[in-house]
Amino acid sequence: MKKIIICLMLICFVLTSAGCWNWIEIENRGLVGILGMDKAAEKGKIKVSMQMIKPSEIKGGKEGGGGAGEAVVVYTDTGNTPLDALRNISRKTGRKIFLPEISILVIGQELAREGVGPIMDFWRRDHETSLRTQVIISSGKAEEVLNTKIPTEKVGGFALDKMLEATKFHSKAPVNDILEFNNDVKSETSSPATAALKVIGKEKDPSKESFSPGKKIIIDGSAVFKDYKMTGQLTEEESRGMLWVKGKVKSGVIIIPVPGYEDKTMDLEIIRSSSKIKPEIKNGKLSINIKVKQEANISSIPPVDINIEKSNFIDKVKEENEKAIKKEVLASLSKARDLNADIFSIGEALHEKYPRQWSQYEKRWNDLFPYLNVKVQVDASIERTGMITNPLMVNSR
Amino acid sequence: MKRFKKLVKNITNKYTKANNKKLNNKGDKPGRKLFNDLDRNMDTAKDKLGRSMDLVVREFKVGHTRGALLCINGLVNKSIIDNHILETLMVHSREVEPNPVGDGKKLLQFIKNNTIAALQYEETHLLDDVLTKVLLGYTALYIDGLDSAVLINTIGFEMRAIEEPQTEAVVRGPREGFTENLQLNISMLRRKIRSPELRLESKTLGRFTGTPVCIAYIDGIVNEKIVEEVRERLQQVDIDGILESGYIEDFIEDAPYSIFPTVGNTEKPDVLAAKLLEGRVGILVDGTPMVLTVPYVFIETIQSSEDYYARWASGIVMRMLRILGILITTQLPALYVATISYNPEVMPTILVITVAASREGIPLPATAEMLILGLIFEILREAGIRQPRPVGQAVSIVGALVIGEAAMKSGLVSSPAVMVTVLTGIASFVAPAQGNVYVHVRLFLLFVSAVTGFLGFFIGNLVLLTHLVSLRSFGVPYMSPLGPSNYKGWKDVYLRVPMWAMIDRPGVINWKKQQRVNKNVNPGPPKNEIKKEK
Amino acid sequence: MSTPAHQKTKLKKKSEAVVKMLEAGKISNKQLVFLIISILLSTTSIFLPSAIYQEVKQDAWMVIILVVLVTAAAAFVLALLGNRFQDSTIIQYSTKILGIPLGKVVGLLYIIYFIYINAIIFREFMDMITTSYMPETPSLVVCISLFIAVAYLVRSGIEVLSRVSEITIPVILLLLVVVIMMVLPEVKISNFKPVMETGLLEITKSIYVPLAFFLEIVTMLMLVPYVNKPAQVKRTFILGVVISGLFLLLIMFAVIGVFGNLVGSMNFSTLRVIKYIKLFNLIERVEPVIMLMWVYGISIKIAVFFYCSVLALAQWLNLREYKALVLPTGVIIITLSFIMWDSSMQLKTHVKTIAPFFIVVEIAIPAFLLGVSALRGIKGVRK
Repeated sequence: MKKIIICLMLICFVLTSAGCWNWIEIENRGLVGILGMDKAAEKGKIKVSMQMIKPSEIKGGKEGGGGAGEAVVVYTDTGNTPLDALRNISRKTGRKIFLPEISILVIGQELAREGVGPIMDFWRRDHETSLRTQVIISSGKAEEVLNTKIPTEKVGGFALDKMLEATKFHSKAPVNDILEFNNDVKSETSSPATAALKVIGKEKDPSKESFSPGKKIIIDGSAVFKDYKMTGQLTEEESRGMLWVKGKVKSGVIIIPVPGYEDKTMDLEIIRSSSKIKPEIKNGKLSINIKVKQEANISSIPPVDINIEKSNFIDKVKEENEKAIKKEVLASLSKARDLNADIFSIGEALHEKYPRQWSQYEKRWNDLFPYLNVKVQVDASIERTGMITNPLMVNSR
Repeated sequence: MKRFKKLVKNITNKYTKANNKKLNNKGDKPGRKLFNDLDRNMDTAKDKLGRSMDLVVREFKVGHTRGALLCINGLVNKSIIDNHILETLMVHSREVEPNPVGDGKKLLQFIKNNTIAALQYEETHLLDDVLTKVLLGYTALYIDGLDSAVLINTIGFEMRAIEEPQTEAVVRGPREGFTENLQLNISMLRRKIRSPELRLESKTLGRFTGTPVCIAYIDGIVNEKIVEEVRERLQQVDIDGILESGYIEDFIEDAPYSIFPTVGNTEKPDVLAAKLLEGRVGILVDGTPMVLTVPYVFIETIQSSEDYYARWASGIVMRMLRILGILITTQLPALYVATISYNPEVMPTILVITVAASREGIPLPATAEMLILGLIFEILREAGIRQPRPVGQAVSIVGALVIGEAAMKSGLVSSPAVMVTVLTGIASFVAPAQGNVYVHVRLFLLFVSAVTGFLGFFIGNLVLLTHLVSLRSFGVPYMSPLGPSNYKGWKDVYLRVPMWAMIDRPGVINWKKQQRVNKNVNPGPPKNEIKKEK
Repeated sequence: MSTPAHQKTKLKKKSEAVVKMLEAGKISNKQLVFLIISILLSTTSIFLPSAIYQEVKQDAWMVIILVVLVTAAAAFVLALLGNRFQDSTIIQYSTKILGIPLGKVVGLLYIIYFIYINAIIFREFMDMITTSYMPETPSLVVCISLFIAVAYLVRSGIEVLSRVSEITIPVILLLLVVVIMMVLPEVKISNFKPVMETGLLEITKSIYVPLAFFLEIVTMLMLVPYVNKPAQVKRTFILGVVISGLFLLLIMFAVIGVFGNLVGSMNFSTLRVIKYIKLFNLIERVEPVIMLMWVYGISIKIAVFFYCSVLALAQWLNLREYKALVLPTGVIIITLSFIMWDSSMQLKTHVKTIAPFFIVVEIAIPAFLLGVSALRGIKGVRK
């Protein structure tokens, strides 16, 4: 009996003394939608900006509307390191920033060109952060992106999430999270490439009535990194070229000239694609074969006099399709050569196939990559023609 | 502490010793015999019973000999006494033999053989016998000049009719429930199990109440050791009165300090019969419809008689719901607090925002909120039970309004907390057998997870599990057949397989391998399909 | 605590019957398998993936297979020894085999081993919880709250301990499988290529740290006398080793498949994998699941080692009762776990340097004992 009482007292003591340390009520946490990192005006400092969510504005529950105020508020502060800046922000918000729910990390171009090493290390090391957080580069300042209102969503973070999710419909930008980014950095040869953002348009003029939002955020190709430093940017076409090689094109549209009417264009919808990088060493000479496979449907044809049931029409479309894809791939390849960045993970493919010979290429990869002998082979197929067959001719009589 | 314990022991010892002495003094009288003088007999009997107001003495004459009937008003069936004892003695005996035999002994013989038209009677020479039996509802017949009395069973008093019990309501299944009368209860059990193997042992417990108690089991199924243990433990029940089987339960429990019950109870004859058929022992107590069953293991909490009466598939669904209900009612508040106050990242982002929004401006921390709402819920529940039904309903409605609407609207509590509390409360009704245990468990887990979050939550659960596993009920591990695991027994834990597939009786209770169904029976269409005759 | 009279008589009967035995409980072979899984899987699943990946990269899973094979062989040898002395523990029969002075030294060695390992696990658990869940909470608090649960388990005896493991370990394994299924869409097969890059030599070289972890199965020699069917422990041991190996392989597969070249730099890669889960925007960051596995798995593991150390100590000192030793031994273990290492990195390097010594205690000495007893023809009572 005595022992039990002692035990109970001990338990009570331990548990009550244990409280309080990690106890933060949910409403006192600083919920953040997007986090932005920029180079600060002072040298060597980082400027952190974030969209802090005001929960009551999103779920205004009791009053019913809740649309009175903005759902987010942007705070910025500077610090020597990411964590320093994040803790400095608490001077303004009075809340400890809650990192796990951050789904997007926007990095300003200036900072990215200087190197994102400390940020990445912090993100991998901290126990709260998630490796799922997506990394995006802003062509301008990250702060600018955060300050731009996206009217469709109350929280900018959710809108950006959806924008990134929607890249699979056009496949014009890669989406990488912290994990994939760092995988590429850790690899001796690969270079990470991740989506880039741009703010376009001007502040809306309040005197004019218009449904169009003034400033808009748009996904604009991708940023290429060499190790932790951003070295260049790919256009949308080049980005898709890269995605073709990586086999990550999920959907999208390809514009090709109509066979027989070269001045008019038709388009195809990409259904699925896959790719294979086949390195080959023959007689000590390295050559790379890139094979892209694609399936597409015809989605529109201008009203011209053609019969798509004739087999050679489809063949010609297929040819044009392959040409278009090849063009994109080659464009990205030449850009990658310019930047000397192996954004396709060709080096890893070589590593996989020739582990023994790998060591002699690994060290020289920077010198080798721009001069690699790369062959691109595209194997496209047109599967279906949509709900109709021939286009309806206006003057077919 | 020790000293205090000693003191208490001493005091109780003295008290019990004194009491025992008293009892023994009384107990000397079993040796006291009846006198052969009617008046003296009557006087002593009246004195012994304290000239109680409900004592009835009816003097009469059989022929020329004086006689008297002694009984307690209200315990006896008056029509039996009037029609079958008094009438026969006073009137009919004369018709047969106008001058009854003069000699006392012969007269008694004559009365016994020819006049008492009652099924059960006995003759005694001891005063104590007379008193105990009269207090049970027997009628004592004295004849002047004889030192013996005839005790006639005239028990008959007003009692509740057989009704459907309130606690274990079923949709499908028998609706009768036990009553407060032991004799009737036993008869109901007999009607379920018509086997000579059904054993009913009787015992009287309680110094003052002298409550009849009956141990029921089925010979050949039951484990003899358990029956022996039950007898032994009942032997040690020494208390002034037994008003309900709960008094006995307190004495025969394995773990008196545990919050978990190690003795089961039921109010339904069919449930008791099923438990006896699984090898358990039932303890029926006069004066209460609640019958104790031992050994009691944890999984009996989630077993309901309806699982077996409904088809197996719906039985499984009910089981799963009950398991879920127990989990929700014990774990949910703690889980809520651990999530809200320590690890909100477990929830999807949008949910975090929603919860944070509804908690904004709430003055109480989540833990206090849970505690207070839980308390209010328990108060409302208790108020609802103890009140007459219309009042109870009014109480619940007002209460629901107060917490559900007013408190939430005025911003005293957050709506997720109300939802959690209500869900917790309602889930506790899914498996009601241990209703109040859940409150302890819930509070314990809430406390530990309020102070250390998920770590405390898991460690608290581990401690709880260790405690559950270390319990035993009459030698049977409390958590069996989960731990020690007996995979055959699992057929009746998470699942409820069809009856023909539950081949063995529960192994943990029986210890012997016994089949309860013929295992060659597999229902299905007949092998030689009956063809339609043309 | 006063108990009702009927229990007192029972207790008396019990204590009369087992004056000589320290532990009256019996456990089944099935329960022993679960105990083995708990001691082999709970710590290895946390530390081994990164530790092995640092050495042999994507071939880490082969190391596991190799370790399991070697451990199975070692378990066979240990089972032979256990089989030879079915009624006593290694502390008892070491004196029988080697004589009193030398045998006592061996016994002391095992007591130190149990306490030492226990201190390591306690420290590892504290580090885990404080780095990944509650960085602001003092380690002592984490440690004591775990100690309460463990001490209660140990005091309840081996029967309760093994029953708890029997209930919790299957749940943990099931959760593990479910969690790994959830992470399956993220697994990239290319992370496993090229196969056998480092070569067999490197793989064999890197075996000794995981082997030291896996050979902790030697603890089971303390429990053999309490097993229902000691004659079947060979099968039981090997089954336990193989099942734990399979699950470790599964974890390895998930960790390497998801994280690829980053595994080597992670402290708690298993936790990170589970944090990485995202299913339908609904199930995200389910870290409490792995906390559950840690708390339950490690509590049982610590309880087993703790139980073995107090039982061994009681047998070594010829005591009648081991329960009184729980508190002092616990204080020693907790103190050791605090003062031995300054930081978690130091603990890591320390474990690597001490691993060979562990292997000696874990397999060399039992093999030696087996050899000597065979030569001298000493046998225990067979059941």
